[in-house]
Amino acid sequence: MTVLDIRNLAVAFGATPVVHGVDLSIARGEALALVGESGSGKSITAMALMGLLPARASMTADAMELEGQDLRGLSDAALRRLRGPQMGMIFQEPMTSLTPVLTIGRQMTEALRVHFGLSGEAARARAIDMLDRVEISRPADRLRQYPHEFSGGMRQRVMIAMTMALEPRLLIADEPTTALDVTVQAQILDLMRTLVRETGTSLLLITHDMGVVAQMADRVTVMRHGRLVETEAAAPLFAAPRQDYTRILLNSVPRLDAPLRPAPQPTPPVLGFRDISRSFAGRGLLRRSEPVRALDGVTLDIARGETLALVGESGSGKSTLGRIGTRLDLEHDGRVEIDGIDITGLRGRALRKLRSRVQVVFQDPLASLDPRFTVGRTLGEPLRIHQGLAGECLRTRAADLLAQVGLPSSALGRLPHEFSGGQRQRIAIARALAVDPAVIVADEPTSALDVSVQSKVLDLMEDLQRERGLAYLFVTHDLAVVRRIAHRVAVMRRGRIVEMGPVSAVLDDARHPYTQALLAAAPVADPTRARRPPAPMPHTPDKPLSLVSDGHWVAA
Amino acid sequence: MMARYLIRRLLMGVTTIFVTTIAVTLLIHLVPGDPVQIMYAQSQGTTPEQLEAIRDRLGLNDPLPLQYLSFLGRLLEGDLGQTIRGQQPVLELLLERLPNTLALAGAAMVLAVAIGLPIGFLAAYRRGSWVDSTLMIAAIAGVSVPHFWLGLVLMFVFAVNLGWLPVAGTGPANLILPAITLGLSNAAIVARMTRSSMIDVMSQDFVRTAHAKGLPKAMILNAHVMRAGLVPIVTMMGLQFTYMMGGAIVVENIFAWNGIGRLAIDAIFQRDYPLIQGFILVFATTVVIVSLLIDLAYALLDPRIRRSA
Amino acid sequence: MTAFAPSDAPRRTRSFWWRVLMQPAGAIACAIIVLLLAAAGLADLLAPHDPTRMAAGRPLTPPSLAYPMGTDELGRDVLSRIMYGARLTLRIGAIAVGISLVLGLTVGLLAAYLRGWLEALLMRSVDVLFSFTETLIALAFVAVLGPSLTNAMIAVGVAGIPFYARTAYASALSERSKPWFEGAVAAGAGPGRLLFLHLLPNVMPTMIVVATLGLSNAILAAAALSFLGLGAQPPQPEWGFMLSAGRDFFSRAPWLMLFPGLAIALTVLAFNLAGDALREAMDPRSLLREDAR
Repeated sequence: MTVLDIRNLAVAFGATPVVHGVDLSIARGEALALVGESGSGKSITAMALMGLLPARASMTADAMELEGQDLRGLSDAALRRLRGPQMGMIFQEPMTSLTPVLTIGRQMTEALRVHFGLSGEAARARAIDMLDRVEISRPADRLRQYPHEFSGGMRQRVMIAMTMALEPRLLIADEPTTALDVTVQAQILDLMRTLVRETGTSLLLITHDMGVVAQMADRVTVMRHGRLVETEAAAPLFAAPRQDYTRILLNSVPRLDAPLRPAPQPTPPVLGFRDISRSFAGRGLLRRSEPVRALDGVTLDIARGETLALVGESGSGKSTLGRIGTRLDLEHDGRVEIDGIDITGLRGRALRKLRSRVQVVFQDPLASLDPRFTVGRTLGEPLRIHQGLAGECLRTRAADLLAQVGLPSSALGRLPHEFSGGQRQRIAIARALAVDPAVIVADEPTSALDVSVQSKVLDLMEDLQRERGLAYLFVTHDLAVVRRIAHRVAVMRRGRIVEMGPVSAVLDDARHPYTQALLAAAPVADPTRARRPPAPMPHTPDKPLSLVSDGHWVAA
Repeated sequence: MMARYLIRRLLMGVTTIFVTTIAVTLLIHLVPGDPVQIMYAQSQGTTPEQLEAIRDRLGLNDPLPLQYLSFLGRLLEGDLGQTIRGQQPVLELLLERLPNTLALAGAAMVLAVAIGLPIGFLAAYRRGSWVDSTLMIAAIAGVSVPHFWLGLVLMFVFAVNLGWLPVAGTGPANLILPAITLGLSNAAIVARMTRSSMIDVMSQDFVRTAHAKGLPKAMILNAHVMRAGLVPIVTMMGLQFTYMMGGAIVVENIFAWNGIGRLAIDAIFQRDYPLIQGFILVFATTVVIVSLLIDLAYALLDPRIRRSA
Repeated sequence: MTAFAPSDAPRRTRSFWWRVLMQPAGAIACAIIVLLLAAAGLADLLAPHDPTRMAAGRPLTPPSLAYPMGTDELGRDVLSRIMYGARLTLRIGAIAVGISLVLGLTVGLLAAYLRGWLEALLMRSVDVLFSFTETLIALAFVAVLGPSLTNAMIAVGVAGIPFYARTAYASALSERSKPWFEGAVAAGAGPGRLLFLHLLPNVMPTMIVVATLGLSNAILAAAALSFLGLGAQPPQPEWGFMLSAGRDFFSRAPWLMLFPGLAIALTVLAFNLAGDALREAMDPRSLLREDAR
């Protein structure tokens, strides 16, 4: 029994085609994943289905049927009546997808009243029931609250409850967990699986994450550049992809069972953190509340030629530690050492001189480069400042740097917006390399990139490390990336290190319950792996670190 | 928490008035030349001895801090001194005229909102259509027409030529032309701001969510867009009222409307510094009080402030 | 490594000025501004009469071939006065906006760059000034300095500082919190480099829009002051002052009301349209609209 049948869908923005020749069909109770990298047209396809394309877009299709009803040529009003009860949609951004000035109750009940003509009382009862099913406690009280009183994960639960309350035949979820922490992601995915199974709803899951696909999908459709690459049942697709592109996509995904990088020779530390603490004056929208302790007595060393990964969820303090290491944040307690020398107190000129030792690469490649500086000026800036280069000399050196990150010297005269995300990140790496640093702090450097690009950037970083003996402090939330790039790893939670040691010891023999929970929650790109339900998170106060085996420290 | 927000706004307002008192005391000393001589330049035959006596009476011979303290002390007793011309009590005179100015600004405000708000909503709702273009062309033209010119034209047409309304003076029928003058100019500003604020809200994610739930368009606009858009619009109203107060000064002078603005311009011409000082203080205080009321409305409208615990 | 392929990335298909002029608002604004500049620049060559010479014609002559905009109550040629008035108006706008922009930008940039107590001090002062409203500040200034066109320009310029400072501050604060700024700090850039090579160029686009819209604001405010008699003094051919001087003769000579008012309105309209067009052309969302595919 087919719920959704689309044949030869084409969408164009003005004269520019963005989606062409896409076929999709979903059976009752089936979960279809629509996978692709940025620009593949996967979200546009969903919006076309919902009838929510922007006004300037045009759409054609040979067939577009939902529950046997032709969606093509329906009036706005008719389409509107289908949205909600026939097809519901959940979006990526939980923080902005709910109306800030209306109560949750109002937002949950209004569609019930519009579509089913429920009375206020009946709609309220249904809303309470749904909040209960998405495991939100005290649902009756929560209905009176506003979105800002919920966390991101909780808001996504509310979105799911709100959408599923209408019992849609088809649930479209557009990157529903991409903005969430891994442990929250695991809970939300688990919840969606349960609800979909219980209600017999069909699921169209749009995602870029092969791990999420493997956990959720019965069948998979791969898209690229607005075209369909292949559609296949999940198990055979992961086992033996037929198309080259699918194979590349799957091979690019970092895996938790990948071979480890060989450990480097032990050397003295280049960058050291001694008992670092950092508080932020608690500032809400308007109020000044209790200071938030972002870091609480962190001690850490990074050796020459070594990659140390800092792993944790949002609010763990991992990025703050990175900023302190690069001296972009100076308001902390404790000491920072470079080559064993205390540099905590350095300011002004002395600090600027020292900045060449520690460089930084950020997450968002576009925001990392001054939009008004050409690549040549961006690369030339540190060279001018630290090495006093100018003129032809400067140009040659900048071109040389570009060559090292695999870009031609013709890029020197261009502005950042003329490059793709991966190219921009290469430029940012080249800038970091310009002053020949000992350490590069990389804060989620590949999180904003597509997997195939991520893989190449990680390769580049590895090559550069080998050639130059660079040390990386690699901040990330992704344990599979840790395995791929790091020698050692420190797991952080609420401003403290809970477990630290060689990658093999921490990932294969995790001792701390939080590390175990992170590992269990990490989506694995393998549909045959048993789906472990997310482990309940113990909230015990952490004890000081103690040594359990060679170089493996655990707070327990 | 809302209380704390309001207390902060209140403190800000008190600071503003406090700074005003200092500025007002210093004002007379910043005048190039001898202020007393300038003040009395128009009256013939004042002897140097008389000028010195006046200087003494105004306290200008005391050290500055003492001048400020005695100014503050008299202010707390409700005494802002006497006007140079006519020797009237400054505060009494200003408070007598203030209701006229507030009536003018208030009437103009009602008019500006009544005209501007619906136009802004309509233009945002029909964005990109000919309705939008027409309304926005009218609005930008309205913003560009100087209100003193608009006032003159209205007076010329409706009072002088057609004789429907009184030309000048203070009274209920006299309020109509000045209020329309001030209201129309500001209606254009309100319309432009409303439109851009509404368009901003309409592009938010939560509006997409409301569409995805299959809510009727009218309901999305009424419940989601309007409620969310109201918050910035109310803030804008506060600013708008201060524009009105400023605009009233000019319009009062065109139509000989007896408000504090007319008083102020006369005072500037006559170099009546006690009156100028009083005017600045009263004007600033009025603006601060209105802003506080707007902040209160803002806090009540936005649950993120109302309920931040 | 992937081949260098700039075609993957969004391109700016047309130049910035092209985007400005292709909007109706931009084109109209440009036409009026060119006209204004021509009138102001070529007044010496084109104006049929001396703008201050009395009895160039009979007083209150209606518009005719000899006096296309008629003559005023003293027999001066209105067209010539309007043309020389364009010169005054543009000068008033430029000087007033110049004062607001330079001082506002300095305060805003410094506050955003320095942070800490100086930021608090500067911006709280700006907040206090802002709540005084521009009108009050301008009036207070004229009250102290005395009525004259120069003082009116200064008053209007000073009155604008709080708004310019706030806008520059907000823009600079948002720029300095972006990773590229920290990237420049990490690269070792000193205060001068950060302020003048990085922050300033990135804040300027916003400030150019603000200043363009500010021109119309300043011209209106200065004309209002002159209209009240607190700005231009006789025999200066200032448009606002011309309106107030001609008030008593409107029934007999409506052209005295029409032409100066129209001149102000068109000038203000031109800078409003220009500001809108510049903002539209700079808006990243309008860029996206063009580049989305």
